[in-house]
Amino acid sequence: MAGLRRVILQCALLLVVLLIVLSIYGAFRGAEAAQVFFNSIPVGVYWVVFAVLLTVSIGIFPRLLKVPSLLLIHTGCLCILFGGLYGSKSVMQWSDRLGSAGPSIRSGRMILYEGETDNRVMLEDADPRIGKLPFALRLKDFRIEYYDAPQVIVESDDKQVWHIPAEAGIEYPLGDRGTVTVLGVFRNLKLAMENGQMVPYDHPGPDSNPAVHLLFLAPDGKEEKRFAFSFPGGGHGTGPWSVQYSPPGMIKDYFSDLEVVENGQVAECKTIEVNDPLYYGGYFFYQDSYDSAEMRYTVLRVTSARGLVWVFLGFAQVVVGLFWHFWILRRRGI
Amino acid sequence: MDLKPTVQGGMIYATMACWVIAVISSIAKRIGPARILFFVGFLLASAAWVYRWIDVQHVPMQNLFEVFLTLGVLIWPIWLFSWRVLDIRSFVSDLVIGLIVLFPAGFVFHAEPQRLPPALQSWLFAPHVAVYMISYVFMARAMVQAIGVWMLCPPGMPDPRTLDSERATYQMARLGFPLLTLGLLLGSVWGQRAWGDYWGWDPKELWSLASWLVYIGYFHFRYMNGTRYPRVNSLWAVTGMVFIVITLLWVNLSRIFPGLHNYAT
Repeated sequence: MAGLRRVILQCALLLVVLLIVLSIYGAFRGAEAAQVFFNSIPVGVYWVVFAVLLTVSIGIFPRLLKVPSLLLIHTGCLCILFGGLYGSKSVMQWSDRLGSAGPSIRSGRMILYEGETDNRVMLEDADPRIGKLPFALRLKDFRIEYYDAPQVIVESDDKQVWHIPAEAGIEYPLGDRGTVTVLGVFRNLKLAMENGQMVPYDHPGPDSNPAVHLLFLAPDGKEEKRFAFSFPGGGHGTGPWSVQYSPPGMIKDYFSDLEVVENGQVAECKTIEVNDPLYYGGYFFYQDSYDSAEMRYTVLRVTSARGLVWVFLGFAQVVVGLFWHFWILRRRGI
Repeated sequence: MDLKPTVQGGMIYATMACWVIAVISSIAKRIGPARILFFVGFLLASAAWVYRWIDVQHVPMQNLFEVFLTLGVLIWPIWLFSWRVLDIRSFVSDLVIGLIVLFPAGFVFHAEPQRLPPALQSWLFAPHVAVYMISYVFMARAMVQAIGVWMLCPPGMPDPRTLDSERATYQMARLGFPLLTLGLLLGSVWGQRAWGDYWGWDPKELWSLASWLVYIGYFHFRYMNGTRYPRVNSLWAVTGMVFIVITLLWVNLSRIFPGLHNYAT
């Protein structure tokens, strides 16, 4: 038996070294290729052999059964392997073929327009198909929060300065100099001729000409429309004002207000953001991307929760087992 | 070379100066002043770290400058813990590790304050990085002891001094390894919450897995053979630290490994 145990230990060491080599190979290949590689059939065989070896080890090493910390660590590794395999693309495809009632969408993306409801998911992993959720999601609102809120800096000819929030519709008092109203905020301002008048509009595409359209109203009722741009000296006009637009800075967070619609009823509402997904019906919904040109839609990443409980249960076992074994038992010389 | 003529830079340079003088004092057998200088350096490094936190308005562990500054702060408390609790009587090597980790913070990496991108705004950010940093210091100390085994161990039977270094390597590794695992777990939980994958096969993740596996190999080899092959045991520990350095530096700085963790430069 001692000889068999030694052989098993040597095999375990060999498998560990092999996984080190495979990990380095995967790192050089990049995340996408590595994912395909580690989910391929030969490496799948490796995972199964690893799991079998762990199971055999627990059976034939009495120490693993007698020392609870070691048992936790090794069964934890088994749980992680089981959860990983159970939630893997290959196993999900096989269970789909066998007619499993489980979820068939492993991961994908949804595009949701504001006010619209949808249940279609564009599948990932080079799968061109569209998956359908057994419920739908509605996007009520999508918004972005910035570290520095956009603002307009207005300076009068007597050097008084006002900082005005750059939000369309805001009317702001300028002391005894009247008021200023923000008529429109543009990421990429262009002008078009309509009925003989120049009309501002936001041109789709990257933010290359951020600007704000302003209306100054003097106490005597005199009106003046001006544009404020992001560069100094922008905003030509005849009034006693100097204006500059400070566009939004770095994005702080993205938010999507979602409703889960099932059987025509709203089953759940949640505002998701980065690091705070929605979980419903065995799926997680993550804030992934958005319509950077016109802010009309949000992009959600959808992933199945299949196998996740086993993976995290295994992780917890391994961590607890290691601290118990190396920090507590070892100090007592066990 | 990126010199920092700022208050924060001054504190880092002052820490390094204290520790260089402490090394010289220690070599000159002036242990008392050397220990005081080690502690003063720790206070200065801590002040630089707190200053940075106030300056950037988040826990300073976002980029490599902040990470190396954090490592510098951890050197003295871990030395004290090892001395008092584990009875590992190293000193100059800890100062040298401290100087090595503060050098990139003082002279290599830029210190411009950066705001946290959305993915880093998580309660898992600080514990994930902090746990890794503490484990890295333990593993660096394990490597120093392991190098000592190679320097001390004559061919043939190991002598008692060699075995002391071998056991010290093991003591350091057994303290660092659960933390290394916890760092991996916290990263995995965070990945699940931020990106939807507890494991993304990203180059940094794969190198950190490889580092973790090297220590798995070390513990299993040592379990099989005990202290019969101290040089081989030590080789595992040194390899583990080399992999950690690759995970921490090469993966982030090299364009060979594009991935989700590349913001951390």
